[in-house]
Amino acid sequence: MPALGIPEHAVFHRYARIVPPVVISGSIFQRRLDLDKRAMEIDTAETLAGVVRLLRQAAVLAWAAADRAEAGSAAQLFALGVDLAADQARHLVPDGIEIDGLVPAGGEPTGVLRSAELLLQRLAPIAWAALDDLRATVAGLLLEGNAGVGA
Amino acid sequence: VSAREGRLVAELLDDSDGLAREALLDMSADRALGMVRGWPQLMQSAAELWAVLPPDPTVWANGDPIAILAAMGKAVGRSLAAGHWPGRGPSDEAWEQITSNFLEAGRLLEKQPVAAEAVSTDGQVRPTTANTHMLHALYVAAHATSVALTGYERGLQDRLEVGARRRQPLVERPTLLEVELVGGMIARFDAIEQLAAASLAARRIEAADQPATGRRRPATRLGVALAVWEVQAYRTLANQPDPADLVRVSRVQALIATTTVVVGEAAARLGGTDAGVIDRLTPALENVQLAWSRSARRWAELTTPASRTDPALVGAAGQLRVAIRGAVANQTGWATPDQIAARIDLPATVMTLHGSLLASVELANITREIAADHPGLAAPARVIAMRAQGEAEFAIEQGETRFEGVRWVTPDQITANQVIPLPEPARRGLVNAATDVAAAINQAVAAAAHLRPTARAPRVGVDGARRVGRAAREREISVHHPNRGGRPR
Repeated sequence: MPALGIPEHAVFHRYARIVPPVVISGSIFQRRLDLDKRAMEIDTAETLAGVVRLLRQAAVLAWAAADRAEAGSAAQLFALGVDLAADQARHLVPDGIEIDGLVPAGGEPTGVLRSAELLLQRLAPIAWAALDDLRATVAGLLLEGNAGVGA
Repeated sequence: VSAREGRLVAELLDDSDGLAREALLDMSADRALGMVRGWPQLMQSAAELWAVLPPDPTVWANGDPIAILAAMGKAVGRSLAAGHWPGRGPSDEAWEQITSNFLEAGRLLEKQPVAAEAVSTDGQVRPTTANTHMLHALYVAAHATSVALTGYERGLQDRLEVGARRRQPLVERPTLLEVELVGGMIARFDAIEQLAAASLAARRIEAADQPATGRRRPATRLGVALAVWEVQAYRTLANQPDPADLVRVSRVQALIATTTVVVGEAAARLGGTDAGVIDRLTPALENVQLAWSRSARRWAELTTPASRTDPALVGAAGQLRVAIRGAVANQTGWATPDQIAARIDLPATVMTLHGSLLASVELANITREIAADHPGLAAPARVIAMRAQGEAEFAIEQGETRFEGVRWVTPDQITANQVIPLPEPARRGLVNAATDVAAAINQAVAAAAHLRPTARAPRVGVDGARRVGRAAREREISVHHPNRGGRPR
């Protein structure tokens, strides 16, 4: 059973470049500079793109819940956390990898977050601190969500 | 730095303070435009001088007032350079002189390693007072600019009324839009002035608290995170922002407003702040939160799957979220007032958040300017078609004919959902959303005008009634709604 929103398919081992972005200056489209290029398997990059879609959908659901709640709800804190996790994941996806895709199903943010966590676990072990950070972030958000903040 | 150079620095600061005071006494509306134009350079020179002034033991690591004032000064400069009111032109001579004084003082201090005792005339002007001196000059200069602008606005309104009464040709009258733009600039300088004033007040309290030991008060995590966030938000918005950046800024600002409510209510409950002020401030801050949230939703429509948020902005927002969570939240939601009081210095944090509220006036204005004329704004064609059509129909209902029969998006663009530049009607909704944010912040700033840390602000008066300060309306900055009516959101 594939994780929510991610089609299961076999791929050849192709390679993409991972380009952690850095802000410099210039136009909207040129301001991020490629640094520290490392090879990344294309299926890893596509899996990360799936994580981005899931986290963005979780953020949409979390913000919808926060906006439905009365002004001043603590749900904002949770929703912002999910949003930032999606941003964090987006920066791990190399340029040239399609982020667009089917919007994952799921009616509540913690369920979608859980799918993102499972997908992150499915990734082959990579010695990459940024990915570990993302895993830790998602796990922390799941704890928050399960405790009832904004979920 | 020799004693002579130290004296020179003190004299230059004295001269600057004197020039600012003279400008305030002058109250000349004729100087208003030059003062606005001269402000970015003046502020830049102040930031450069601040960087080389002797370290000040009374400044908290999280309370560097110049970083945010400098960012606000740059924002005014960018606004002028982009052609916004009052545009380019001559600067005020006194402001140029103050700029020159600050630069000269900075050069003198840069020559040699700083010796704290050296910045004095006769042993009385110590580094703390040198820094305070500079801040005071900035505060008076910002106030003088605000006063001059108010006079200028009054003059425009008078001319507008007289022109209408005497049926003068339209070209000889000022426009209502110009009056609104001056009002917007007054709001910006009012925020700058209040930030400088709050920094001065905080320094006095701090200096009075610990003059003997000179020990640095430990920085709070929340204060540091707020300061980092504010400066980063200015930087990101100044550097060709993506709509995703504006979504993030809006969402974080909404959270800051909510946090201010939570901390303020806790402080009021425990007697740390005037409860009457908090009672007035809370609904105003809730409106700020809602306005920023609406703005965030509008900007979110412009993002695409490929959008990336500035990583530096994400980092600063992440730090701030963690700090807010650590200060005011627990596993299930907001912490109780007692829990919050055990974690942070409530009255001090209320004042820190108040400073952040003041600084957000400028962020709202920058957001509005980006919405109005940022050339790089683009969005998926379907969103543009929907928004542009709605706004254009509303404008046509209001009697604007220039949008009639205009097609904003081609069928091919819609089919491919191509990302295309934002047409004018689609910008109007974003501008209106930002205008609402600025108006909500102005009302909150007015409601917070008498916010003070405590012991001097008892919760109730001798008659048992809650104390309230000067009427909030007195401080309220007029709301400016260019191109507004009861348009759809």
